[in-house]
Amino acid sequence: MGGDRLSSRGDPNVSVFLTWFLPGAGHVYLGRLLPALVAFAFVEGLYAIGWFLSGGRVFEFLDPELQGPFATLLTPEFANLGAMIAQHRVVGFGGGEPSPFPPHAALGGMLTGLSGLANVLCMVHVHLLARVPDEASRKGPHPVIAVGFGWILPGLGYWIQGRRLRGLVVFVLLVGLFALGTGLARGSNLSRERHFYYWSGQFLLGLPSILAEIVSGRPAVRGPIRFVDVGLLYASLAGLLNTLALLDVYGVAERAWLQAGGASSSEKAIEGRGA
Amino acid sequence: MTGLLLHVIFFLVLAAPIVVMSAFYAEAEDGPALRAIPKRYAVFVVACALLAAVMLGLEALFV
Repeated sequence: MGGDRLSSRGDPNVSVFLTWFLPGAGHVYLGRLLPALVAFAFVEGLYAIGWFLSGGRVFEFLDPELQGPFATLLTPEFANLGAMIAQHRVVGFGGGEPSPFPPHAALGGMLTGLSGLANVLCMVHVHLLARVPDEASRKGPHPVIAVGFGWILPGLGYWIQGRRLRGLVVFVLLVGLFALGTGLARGSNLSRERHFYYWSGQFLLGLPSILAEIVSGRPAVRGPIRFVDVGLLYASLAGLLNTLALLDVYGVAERAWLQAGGASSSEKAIEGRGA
Repeated sequence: MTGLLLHVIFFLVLAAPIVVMSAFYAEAEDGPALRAIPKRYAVFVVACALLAAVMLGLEALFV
């Protein structure tokens, strides 16, 4: 097993760990400079724009009693660890006089979150790349593409794999759950500033949650909402359940990808574990 | 009583996607996954009901 890994470009786990801290670093480790540059520019570019738009104040959305060194571990930014640590060290949770958030702070928060998800895809790519250097010989949708589509629209990852019934069921269930939750919470869930952690969960639902937030304009709360707790739970759980769908999509895509190009002994061992 | 009934309905609604997603994750083929859903749903609901009963019992004893 160890010998197989050494005979490939590098250790998959090391490449993932490097990418987690610095997007592109894992690709450099594997000797792939162009993808490294693209990954770094895209992921850190998203984070930089988000930081600029929000004034680096996204983590100030958290209630003061929740602010601490580990408070942001349950955010999408955690997947872009280096940038998140940099933001903690440079601006932290503010701490100065209270002042209004910049007008595009919510959009900025969305972009920094998006950079984390983009880095997850980079980590998936680099892990696969370390094990399967000859990508050109493979057939079918690339696992990273399948996972990416599955995040953009729940069920779409299944759809492009040809598992259309499953894709439709997942789409109806998860988007329906999110819509029901949003209705019960009367749209109050569509604000990261108001519900920091629940927002992180529903962000995993992809485009439906992002579009709902943008189109609704984050409706104001004008009175008590009877079933707000149920609504928040529904919307957040819809996103978290999509993670289960993404893992399923990835597992199947990876097996198909490995089989299409003829698996090495280490790849066969991985397949054996998945069976 | 109406509140309790509503929350039981909320739970039963939420249980559906949880069970379906877990069935899909456990079974690669659609047919077996869909056929397993009713049994999985029943097991999930009964197990959650038992857990709730234990929690309520402990609450009555110690709180």
